[in-house]
Amino acid sequence: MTADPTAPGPPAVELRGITKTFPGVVANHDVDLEVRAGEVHAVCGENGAGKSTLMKILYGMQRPDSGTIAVRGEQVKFRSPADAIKSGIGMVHQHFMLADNLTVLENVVLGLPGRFDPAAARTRIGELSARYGLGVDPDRLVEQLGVGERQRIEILKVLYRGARVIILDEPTAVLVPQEVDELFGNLAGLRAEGLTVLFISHKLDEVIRVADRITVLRQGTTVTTVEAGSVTTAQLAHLMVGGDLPTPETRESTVRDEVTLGVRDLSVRSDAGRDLLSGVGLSIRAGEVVGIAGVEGNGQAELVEALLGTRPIATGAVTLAGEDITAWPTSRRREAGIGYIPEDRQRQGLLLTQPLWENRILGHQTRPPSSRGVFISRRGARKDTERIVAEFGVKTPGVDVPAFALSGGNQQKLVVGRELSGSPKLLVAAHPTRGVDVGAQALIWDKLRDARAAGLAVLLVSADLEELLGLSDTLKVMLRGRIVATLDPATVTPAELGEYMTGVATQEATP
Amino acid sequence: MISPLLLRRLGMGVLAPVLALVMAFVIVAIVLQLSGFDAFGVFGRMAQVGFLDKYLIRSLDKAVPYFFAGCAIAVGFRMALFNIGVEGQYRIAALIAAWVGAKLSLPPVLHVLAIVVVAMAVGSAAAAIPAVLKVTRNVNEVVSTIMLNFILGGVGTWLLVSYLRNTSGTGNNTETALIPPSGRMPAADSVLNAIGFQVPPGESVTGLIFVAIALGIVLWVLINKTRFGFGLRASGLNPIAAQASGISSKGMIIKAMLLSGALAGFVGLPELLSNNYKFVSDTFPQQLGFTGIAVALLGRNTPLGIALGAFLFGFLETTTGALQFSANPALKIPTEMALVMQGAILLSVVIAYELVRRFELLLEGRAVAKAAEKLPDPDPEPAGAAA
Amino acid sequence: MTAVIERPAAPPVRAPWRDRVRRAAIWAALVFVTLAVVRQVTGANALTSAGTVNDAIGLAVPIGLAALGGLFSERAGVVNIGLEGMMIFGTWFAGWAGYQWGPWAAVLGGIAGGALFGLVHALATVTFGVDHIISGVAINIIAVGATRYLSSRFFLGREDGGVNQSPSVPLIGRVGVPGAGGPLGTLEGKHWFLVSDLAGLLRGLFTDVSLLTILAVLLVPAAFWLLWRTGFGLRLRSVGESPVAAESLGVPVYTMKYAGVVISGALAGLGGAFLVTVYDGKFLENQTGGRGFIGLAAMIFGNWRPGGLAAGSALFGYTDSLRLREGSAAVHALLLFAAILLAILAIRAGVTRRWIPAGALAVAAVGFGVVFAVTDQVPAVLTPLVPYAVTLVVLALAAKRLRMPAADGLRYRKGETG
Repeated sequence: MTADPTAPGPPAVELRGITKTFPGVVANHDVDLEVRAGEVHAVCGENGAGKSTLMKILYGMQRPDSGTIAVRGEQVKFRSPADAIKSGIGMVHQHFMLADNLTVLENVVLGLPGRFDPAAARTRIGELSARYGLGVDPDRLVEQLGVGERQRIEILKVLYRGARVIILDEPTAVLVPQEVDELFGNLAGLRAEGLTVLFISHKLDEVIRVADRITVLRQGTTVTTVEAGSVTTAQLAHLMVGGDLPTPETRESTVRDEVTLGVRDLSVRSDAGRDLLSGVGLSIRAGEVVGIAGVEGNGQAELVEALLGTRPIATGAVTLAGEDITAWPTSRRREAGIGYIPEDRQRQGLLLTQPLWENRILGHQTRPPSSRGVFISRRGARKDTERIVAEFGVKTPGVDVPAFALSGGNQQKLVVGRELSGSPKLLVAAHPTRGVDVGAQALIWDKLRDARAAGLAVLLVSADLEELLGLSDTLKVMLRGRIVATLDPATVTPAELGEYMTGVATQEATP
Repeated sequence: MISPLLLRRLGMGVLAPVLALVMAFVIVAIVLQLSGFDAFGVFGRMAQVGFLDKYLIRSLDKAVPYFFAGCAIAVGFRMALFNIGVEGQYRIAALIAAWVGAKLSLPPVLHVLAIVVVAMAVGSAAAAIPAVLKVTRNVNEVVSTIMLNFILGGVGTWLLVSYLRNTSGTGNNTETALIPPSGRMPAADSVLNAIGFQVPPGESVTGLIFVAIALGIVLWVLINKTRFGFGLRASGLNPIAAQASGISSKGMIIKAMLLSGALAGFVGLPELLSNNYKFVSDTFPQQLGFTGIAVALLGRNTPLGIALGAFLFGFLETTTGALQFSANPALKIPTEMALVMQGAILLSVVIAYELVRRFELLLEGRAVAKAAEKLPDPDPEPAGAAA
Repeated sequence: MTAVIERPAAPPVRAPWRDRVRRAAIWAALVFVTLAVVRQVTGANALTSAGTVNDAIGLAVPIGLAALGGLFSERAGVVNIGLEGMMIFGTWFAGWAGYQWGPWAAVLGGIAGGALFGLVHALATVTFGVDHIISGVAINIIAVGATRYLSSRFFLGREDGGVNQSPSVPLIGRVGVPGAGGPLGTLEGKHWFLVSDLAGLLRGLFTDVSLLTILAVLLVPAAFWLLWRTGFGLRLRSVGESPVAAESLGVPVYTMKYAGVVISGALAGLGGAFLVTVYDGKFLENQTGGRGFIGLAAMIFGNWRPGGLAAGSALFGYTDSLRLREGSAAVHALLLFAAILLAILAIRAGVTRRWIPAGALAVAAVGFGVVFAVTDQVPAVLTPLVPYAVTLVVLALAAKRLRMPAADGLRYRKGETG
C-alpha cells in the first residue's frame, strides 16, 4: 500500500467514542483507542471487558451503535470484514478461522477478488512464508496441521491481503511459553517491516513484554493508555480490575493418606489405531489437587474422557476409592462420586435453552434431590438450585431462567456448584476458570480450595500456568499422550514447565 | 419477577402456531385467488361445513393416524433424531400385522392386542436398523431412513406378492386376507354419543381414539416427568453434555428409535382394525409418515399440540373434500388443495417458530440482564470507571 | 530464545485429482472385464449389449443431474432432500413450457422451475434458518400437491392433457457417430469375449444419443472445474466447510449458499426436463419415481465429488436398464458380478492386512455366489431397490472414508463469528 510506515503521520487506527449494545448488555461504552503506525499496541482487560467486541468492530464484523473509525486519518465505515481488509486491516482470531478440509493455499486466497490462480498464489505464499519465517506449505490440508502452524497460516492470510494493521486476538492462549517466544519473534519481524500490530490479551506480563503502548479496558470502556515501559504488572492489574488480581495460592497441604483415584497403565487409541494415551499412571489422594500441564491436544482431553468413561480405553485400570471402576459406564461413575467441570461449559456442560433447575439435574439425574425413583424431582432440583445460586453468588433473577441468559462467569459458577453437589469424591476439572471474569475466578478458586480441604481429590487440567502452579499439590506434564514429568509446583518455574511441555527437557519416568 | 417470564413463554407458545397458521392461510389464499377461486368464500365454507357433526366426526376419525404418526416423529425430534422412516416403518408393520391378524384365531380382546403387539414389534424392528447403523457405523439416520423407506416398501411389496397375499380370495388383488371380527376394534361411537357428541348415521370414529388419548398421556408423563424423558431431552438438546453426565447417547438413540418405531406401528392400525380389516397394496394410506412430520412440528412435539395439529390436518382434508362437490365453481377447489395447504402449513410452521424463537431469545436475554442489574452484587466488584 | 523450528521442505506439489483419475480408470477397466467374464459365463448377453449401455446412460442422466444438484447444495452446506420435489417441479414446468414452445423451451422451463423451488429452499434454510431436512420434506410434499393442482388448472381440457399429464412435448433430437453402428453391431453379434463387449459398449455410447444427454454428461467435468478450479467454487465450498472462516474473510456467506441451492434446484429441474424431453414426451405424474432420492444416494455413494457421483449414477442407471430391458434373468447375472467384485475387494483388503473388512467382504462375496447358484432370477420388485441398498451398504461399510462438507446441514447465522 502507499503509507510510508516511518513517516510521522496520522495514527494507523483511531477509534473515537465507540459504543455497542447487545440485547441487555453494553459491550462497549464510549471507547477511545489510538494506535500509532508501526507500533505494537496491546489492548488488555479481563474477560468480559469488551476487548473482543471492540476488535470485531474494527474488523467490520460488528457495526458500532455510535462512534467513528479512522484509518490513517481517513474516516471509514466498515460494513463487513471485506471493507476492513480493503483498508489494510487484518485479524488473527482467537478461534482459528480455517476450513479443515481445504488446503492451506485455498484458505489463504479464499474471499479475494479477481481470478483464482493457484500457481501465482503458491509463489506468493512461498515468498511471504520465507520473508517472515513462517514455514508454511501451501498444499497441505489444514486438518493435518498443529496449533502453531495454524496460527502462522492465520498470520499469512492477513499478510497475503497486504494488511498494514494486524489484530491478534488472544494469540497466546493456545501456545506454550516457547511457542509464545517464537510468536513474539514473528511479531518483532512484522514491526521491523513497518506493520502495525494490535495485540489483545489479558496476560499482563506478556503485554508488558511485547507491546510499545497499552490501552486498558474495564467494563466496556477505556481506562487509559500507558507506555509499556512505564508500568508494572501490579499497576496494570489495578487499572484493569480496580484492585489486585486474585491469586490461586493454596496455603497448607490437606493431602490425606487414602488414595481416591488410581490410574494404572492407561492407554487410549484413536479409531485409526494411533496412540492417544499410552501407559498413563497416576494417583490422587483425598484432599489432593493433581495438576496436568501440557500443550493442548497432548492427551489431556482423552485422559479426562477415559476417567469419565465416555471414551473406550485400550489397556489399563482405573480405581475410585479402592474400587475398580474400569468397566463401569459413565452413569455409574458419576453416581459413585465423580464430578466434572468441562472444558467448554456451553458445549459440554449445559442445556442452554433449559431453566437452571433442569441444568442442576444434569449429571445427577439418578440421585436425590434431582430424582425420586424413575421420576425426576422438580421440587428437589429447584430447591437445590436455589442453594447453589445463593452459595455461589450466581447472578440470576431465579432458577426458571434459561441457562443461556446468564453471563459466562455465572454459568461457570452454576456448573461448579452443581459438580460440587452431592459430596463427590473426585472432581475432574478441565480449565475451571477459562473465560470468566476475575470475580467468578476468585470465587471458584475459593470453592475448590474449600472442597479440597474437606477431602476432595481434584484432577486439574489447565492451560493457565499460574492456576496450575497455584492450586496443585503435584504437577504432571503430558506430552504426546504420556506423562513425561512429575514436578513440585512450589519449586518449578513457568519456563521450566514450558520446556517439559514441549519436550525440550525430559525427566526419567518416576511412577 | 419470574411469573412474567413464564407467562411470556406461554404466550410465545401460543403465538408461534397462530402466526404459522396465519402465514399459511395467507399463502393459500393468494394461491387460490390467483387461480380464480374465491379464497374467502372457500375458507368460509370450510369453516361452515367443518363444524357440522358429520364432518367434525370425520375429521376426528382422520386425526387418529395423524396423531400416531406425529407422536412417532416427535419422540425422535425430542432427541434431535429425524426418523423420516416412519413412512416405511408403519407400512411394513401394518402389512405384517394384517397378515398375522388374519392368520390368528384368538378371543376378541386378545386378538386385537396381538395385532397391536405385532405392529409395534415390526415397527420397532424396522426402526432398529437405522438406529444400529447410527450407533455402530455413525450413519446419518436421515439418509438411512430415506433409503430404508424405499427398501422396506419394495420388500413389503415382494412379501405381499410372493407370500402374504390372500390367494383364496376373489380376483388377483394384492391384499391380505380379512382379519376376523374377533380381531377388530369396536367403534368409539357409543362412548362419544354418551359424552355429548352426536355421531350421525353412516359415520364412525375408530375406537383407537381412546388408545391415542391414553398413549398421549403416557407419552407426556414419560417425556416430561421421568428420568428416561430427561435423558431423552438432554441428549437431544446437548448430546455431548448428556454423555458426560452419564446419559449414554448410544443407548438413548436405540431406545428413542425403538419407541418411535413402536409408535409408528400404530399409524396403520385404524385402517386395519376399524376400516378395511386388511392390507390392500394400492389403497393403503400413504405419506402418513410425512404428514406426521408436519403434525409434530405444528404441535411443538407435545402430545396435546400434536393432537390439535392432527385434528387440524383431518379437518383440512375433510373440508376440502366436501368443497369438491360444491355447486359454486368459485368454491369447487380440487382435493389436491389439501396437500398444498399441508405443505404451506409445514413451511410456515417452521419459519414462524424460528422467528418467534429469535424474538423470544431477544426478550429473554434482555429481561434477565435487566433483572440481574437490580440484584445486589454478590461479589465486591470495582466501581465502574467514569466515562 | 526465538529459534525458528526447522521444518522439512515441502513435498513436491502433486495434483491429487490425477491419481484419482488414474485409479478411476483402473477400476472402470476392472469392472468392465469382470462384466465380460460374467457375460461369457452366464450367457446373459444383455449385460454388455449396446441397447443396455445406451439405456443405462439415458437412465443415469436424470439421476446424475439430481446428484450434481445435491453436490452444489451440500458443498455450500445446505442439505437438500428437496431434490425430488425440485425435480418434480422441473418436470411440470418442462411440460408446461414444452407443449407450447418446443423441447428446448421445456429444458429452460425445467431449469427455471427447479431453480424457483431451490430459491424457496434457500429462503427457508438460509434466511429463516429452518432445519434443512424439514424444508426439504416440505418442498417434496408441496411439489406433489402443487403439480397436480397446477395440472388441473393448466393441462386439463387441452389435447392429451389431464390432471396427471401435460399435452405432448416434442422430443429432443438424437445423434450418433455416422457409420459406427453397422460394423460394431456385427462385431457385437459374434459374442466374442471382451471384443464383442467392447463393441457393445462403444455402439451404446456413440449411436443414437440425445443431445441433452451429451450436454448433461459434459456438466460433470464442468461442475468439477467450477467447484475446484475457480474462485467462485472455492467460495462456495468454503461456506460448506467453515462458514465462519469464510465470513471472516469477507465471503458473502448467504449469497454463496443461495447460489449453491438455486443451482442445485436448476440442475434437479434439468433432470426433470430430461425425463420430459428425452423419455416420455410429456409431463406425467410420478414421472420422477424417486430419482431425486436416488440422486441423493448417488451423491453420497460418490463421496460428494463429481466423478464419484457420476460413477454412482452410472451404476444405478445400469441396473435399472438391465431390469427394464431384460428383466430378472440379466439382473440375476449381476449377482455373480457382485460376488466376483467383492472377492477382488476382499483379496485387496487381505493383501493390506485389514483382516476384518477382508473377512466381511469375503463372506459377502460367498453369500452373493451362493444366492446366484441356488436361485435363477431376482424378484422383479426387488431390483429397483439396488441403489438404496448399495448406498446403505456403502454408508455402513465405508462411512469413515466418506467425507461430507464439514458444515453441511448446520444452521448458520450471520455475525456469529468468533
